[in-house]
Amino acid sequence: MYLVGYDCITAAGSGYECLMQSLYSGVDNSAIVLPEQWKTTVVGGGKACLISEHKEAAHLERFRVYSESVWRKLFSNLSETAKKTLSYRKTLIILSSTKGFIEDYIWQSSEASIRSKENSFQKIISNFVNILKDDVTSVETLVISNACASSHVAIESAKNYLNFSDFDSVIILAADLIGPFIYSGFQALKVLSTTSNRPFASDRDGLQLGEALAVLVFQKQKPDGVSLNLTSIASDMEGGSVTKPSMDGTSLLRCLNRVVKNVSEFPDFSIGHGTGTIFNDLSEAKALSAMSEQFKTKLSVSGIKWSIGHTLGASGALDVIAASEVLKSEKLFALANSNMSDSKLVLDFVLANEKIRNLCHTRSAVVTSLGFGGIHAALRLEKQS
Amino acid sequence: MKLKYSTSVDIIKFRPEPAWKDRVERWYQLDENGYVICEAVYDWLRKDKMHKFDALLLVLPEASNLADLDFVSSTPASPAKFVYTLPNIAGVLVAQMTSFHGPIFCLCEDPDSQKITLFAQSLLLAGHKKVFVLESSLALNSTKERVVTGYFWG
Repeated sequence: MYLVGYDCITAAGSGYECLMQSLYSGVDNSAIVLPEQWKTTVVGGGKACLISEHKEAAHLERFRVYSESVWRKLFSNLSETAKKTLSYRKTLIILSSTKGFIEDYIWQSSEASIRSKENSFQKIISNFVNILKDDVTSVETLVISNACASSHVAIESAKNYLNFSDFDSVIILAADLIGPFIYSGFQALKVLSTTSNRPFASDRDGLQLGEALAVLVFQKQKPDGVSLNLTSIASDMEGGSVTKPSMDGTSLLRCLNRVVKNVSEFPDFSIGHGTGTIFNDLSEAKALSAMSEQFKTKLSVSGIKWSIGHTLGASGALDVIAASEVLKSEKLFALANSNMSDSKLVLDFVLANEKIRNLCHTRSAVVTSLGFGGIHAALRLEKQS
Repeated sequence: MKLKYSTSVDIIKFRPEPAWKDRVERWYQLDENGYVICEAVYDWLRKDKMHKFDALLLVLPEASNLADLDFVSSTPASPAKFVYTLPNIAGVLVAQMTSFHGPIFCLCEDPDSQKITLFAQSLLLAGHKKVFVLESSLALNSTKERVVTGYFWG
């Protein structure tokens, strides 16, 4: 299936151009969370990358404003063929999220209202369908919530639908906000960095949270000119532990082996999940190293969370956007906060001193994702002329 | 082929030590959703109704909202409660009960709908041999029990 359009809003600003500008310029968009950051007081001190536009509005209103602006810009940049497909053929819309946009609902709800079969996600997705109504005609919707691997699982589902049903387009809306609920939870787990987010670095000390809304449009039909083909995707739950991935990366390696199966060319680079926690980065690097060994070469690895934070249910979609832009520009940005990689992680990390790595004849990338609940996923994106 | 099983669980009578306590990590910290799912899966295992499956489709229309409410009502913030504030966590419990590993898809959609059928069929067409669809809504039935339903497709 082909990635025919994408855009996003993040702490770096509105539009994927702002995201890429931040990544290439080494801008860290994080700030320390203050106790009075939200209406509910929290234990401050952790790092987060928050969207500044409309930050005082209610979550549902923020969703409406962000999704409308992202969609309008994305749609105006789509090819006429892609627009026609959306206008005349069946489209599936998948919402990929954890709970960023339902925080307000949770704080205001009661056990009775929750048990009344009220689907808290339906308001969000209905809102988005309403925004699209003039551009997309025949629509069905799905809500997928697979922790921080939600985007990858949504993309895997999109591929199945485009391959095996009569849908011609899938729009993935991947979004999460940060509020006192999510922040306090990660703070309670003691995984938030209080310094700077340094994925894969020897001195990494935790993750930073981030807010984002991203939209990806996939279609069956190959677009004209240079195209981005999502050739393969796989997910796997290892089922061992609720929060910790296996230290040997077995489950992620199973995914990677499936996505590079029958591929003769080694991926030119990887946009890693790289949260900056001890366990995530160790497990992920072991899996990527094991895949590299099979090809007898070292994989170039970078990531984006040091700049815009871990955007949870949206993180995989943003990694796909970043990978797509790198495939087009053939320039890989660095992990700008990471000065020295962990000696236990045997990969070719693009570190701060390198700033930008020039890649030659870039053709394919792998994008990995890990989430609570032992969920792992990987996908391969290929540039085709 | 589609096989369907249902189990009703009385949520008021959480047993101090369930029969499946050794199969699940920290069973005593489970939220209600996790507990009833373990009860149902154990019931089907005991009655030899569990089939081998290679993809798991969790259908939880209210996501993890009850665990979410429990977490935001706790002071100070409880890490043990926070880990259940993701709907797909129920999948880990199914995996621990059945030794499953593989793809899991967690949908926040109405149970037994056309959408679920289409999704399960897309997984079978993608090459999966048997899909286990596990549906659990927070709504209680007329006898104040939670109903968990499992379908095996393929």
